[in-house]
Amino acid sequence: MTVFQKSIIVLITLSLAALIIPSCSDGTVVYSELDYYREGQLKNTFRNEIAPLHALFAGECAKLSNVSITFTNQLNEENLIKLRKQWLETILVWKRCELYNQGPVEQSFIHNSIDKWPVNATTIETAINGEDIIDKSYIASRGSNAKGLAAIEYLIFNQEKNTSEVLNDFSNSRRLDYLSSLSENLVEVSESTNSMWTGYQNEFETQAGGGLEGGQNKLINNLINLLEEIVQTKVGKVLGNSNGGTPMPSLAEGYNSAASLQMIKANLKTIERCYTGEFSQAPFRVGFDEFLIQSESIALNERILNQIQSCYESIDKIQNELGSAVISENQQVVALYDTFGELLILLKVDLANVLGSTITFTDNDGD
Amino acid sequence: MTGIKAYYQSLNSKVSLQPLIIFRIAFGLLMVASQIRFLLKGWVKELYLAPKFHFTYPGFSWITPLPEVWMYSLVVATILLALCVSLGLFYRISIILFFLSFTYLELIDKSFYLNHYYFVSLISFLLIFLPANGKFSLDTILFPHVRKTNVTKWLIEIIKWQICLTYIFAGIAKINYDWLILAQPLKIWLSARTDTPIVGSFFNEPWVAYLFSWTGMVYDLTIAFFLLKRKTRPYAFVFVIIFHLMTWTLFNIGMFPFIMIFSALIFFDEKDWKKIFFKQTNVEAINERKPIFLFKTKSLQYIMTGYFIIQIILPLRHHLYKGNLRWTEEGYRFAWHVMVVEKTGYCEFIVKDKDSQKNWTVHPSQYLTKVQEKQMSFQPDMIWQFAKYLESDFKEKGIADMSINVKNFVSLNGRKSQPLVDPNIDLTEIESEFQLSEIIVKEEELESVELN
Repeated sequence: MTVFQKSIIVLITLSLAALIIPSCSDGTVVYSELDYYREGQLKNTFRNEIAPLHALFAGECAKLSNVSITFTNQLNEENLIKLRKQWLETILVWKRCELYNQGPVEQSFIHNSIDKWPVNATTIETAINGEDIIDKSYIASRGSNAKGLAAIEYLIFNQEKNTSEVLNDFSNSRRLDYLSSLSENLVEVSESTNSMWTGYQNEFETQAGGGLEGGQNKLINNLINLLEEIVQTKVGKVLGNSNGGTPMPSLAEGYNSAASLQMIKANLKTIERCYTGEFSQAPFRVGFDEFLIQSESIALNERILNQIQSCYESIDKIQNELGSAVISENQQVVALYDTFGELLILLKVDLANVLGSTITFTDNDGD
Repeated sequence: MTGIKAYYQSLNSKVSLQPLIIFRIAFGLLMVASQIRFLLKGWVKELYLAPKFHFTYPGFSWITPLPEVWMYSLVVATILLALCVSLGLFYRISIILFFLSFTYLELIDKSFYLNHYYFVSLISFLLIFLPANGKFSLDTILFPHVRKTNVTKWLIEIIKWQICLTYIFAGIAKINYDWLILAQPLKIWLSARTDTPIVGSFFNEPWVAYLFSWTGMVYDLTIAFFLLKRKTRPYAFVFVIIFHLMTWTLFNIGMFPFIMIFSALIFFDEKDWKKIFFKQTNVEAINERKPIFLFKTKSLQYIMTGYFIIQIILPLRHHLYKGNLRWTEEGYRFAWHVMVVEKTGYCEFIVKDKDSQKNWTVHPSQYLTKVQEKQMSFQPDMIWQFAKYLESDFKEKGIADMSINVKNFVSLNGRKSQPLVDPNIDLTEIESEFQLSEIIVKEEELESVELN
């Protein structure tokens, strides 16, 4: 056998080995310590945060539906206040779930059915003043900006009206039908979301790789997407960043309920928990901070943790609700924008760089 | 020197056409696979049709995407043309049209610049001038006069020279502090790939990153020489396969490894092929025929001399600019800086109407696709281009006189993020791509920047 022939045999063997090895990741292979941690992080995130949060959310939606039925049966101020209170409980849980939008949940666009903001008031009023039968299947067929939590908020809160005026609007039975149907639809949608996550558990927990398809990479993208949403839309648009600088109070998420800052704080809480992995008293609470410490990026970890605290402080410094604060405490709202912007840079640029994450959803080749 | 002199003198000798034929068939088939993959991945829409704005190359702003149906038709055409090249059917016109259409596609937007696309354009350009359809082609049946069994040696050597230049400049690009002393960006990339079965468990070990870095540099700098030498060629080819399959397994670099593996086939001459398949060591006497080219030999020599002068100057042009190349990216493209940076960035643009003093904050995602936004965030020329685009967009909205500044942070190879483009400079005042040095915050001693 010539050198060439020997070489060709070696070559073919190596090629086959190189092709076969990547495809035999059946769980029997030797994992690195990093992968052990990654898998631990994903399990921790799913079992101690995603699963309980979505179950809690489904429970809150069921409660909201019950309170809504009570309100429908007994139209009075006390029941309206109870309904508002339950709505706030529900939206704040949702603001913690909002971060987790991947896999089948992302593909189904179900987040839009739960909370698409701002709502289209004209569409809602046209439906109420129309003649179609309003029930949960009618709501299911509507566009996402006419249903979900934001639509309920539109019906039960109004910055321009006092409580009795809002109550008075419900003398129109079709408005009540719309409200109860929204609540019923939300129960179904929240249960579907919970089921999707349950079905996705195994896939989520085993995406241990750090590459493009890795669960950690997807979590970083989720963190960045939510932070961009806060910076660009939830605060930036209210500041008037997209219209030449004229503040737009009514563009604040939760403007009618005056809960904007609480919602941003709930978002921040979930970002912090996802980053640190501090979900429960379980011993293996792995978050992104562990990876930074492992890669000797201790200073970056401290900067991120400090910046998260600065974000909390910048929220707390604002005395009024975001809608009014953007006029009366504009500098504090600008500071809120800047503080969250700095956190975004730390995660999108520094953290992603150190972890080699891909901040994009395309898989176009490199180099 | 005797070896070089002998090599130089041998360039005008006649050799078998076989290596070129094998190269043509392999290259054509790879391009068929590559373009089908491009189509199936949905990249025609994502890369060409979805963006509202394209980052054009200097001097090529006239190259814009065609309407949807034509864009798809064009990519399909590249598949058919590549197939024709492989089959040797209407070879000359097919390779010319393939070169033009493929290069057109690559020139539409800087965001999609890839070294291997550039390599494909160069190889298809060179193939235009070579009689690669002289044997084992449908052209030899349809047009018997194109039949050939041999060719002047230098016509095969130019493909080898291009491959050598690619490897050597890629190797030179790796001789830097980050690559050799910090083992970056491989340290980052490997730790992200610890899920690779069996060997992945070692990827978080610093010594592995150093091993890969140094091996990669030595490989790039020397592999071409080992491929050139007959004695070492088979071993070198085995290394080529191992090396590129490994990069294919570990990194998201698409067709590049396969293009380089199949390109290395050009180094095997007829003697080698006969050894492999026919157990013969003696080569039959070559039956010389008159070569047929688009150009006369002398003219072609001038063209190729010019071509290779450009190919040597382009990768070296970055020395004309101040600052660290990997940070400034001035002279970075078309220079074989393959896989030497891990960069992430963030940009937001502040548009100020000088008359009304109104401010707008523009987030690039409002205009750009994810890929464009990502690529722009750490490349100064693209940041400037986007600012100019914003200027024209705001002018259309009625803002006559404005300033545009960018808030931009970039992290390179694990370093703490810092501004790349000076936030105090009004980008509307920069009129040409040749003034970009003025806007870049130069990090003269990149080594001193704190690591994250």
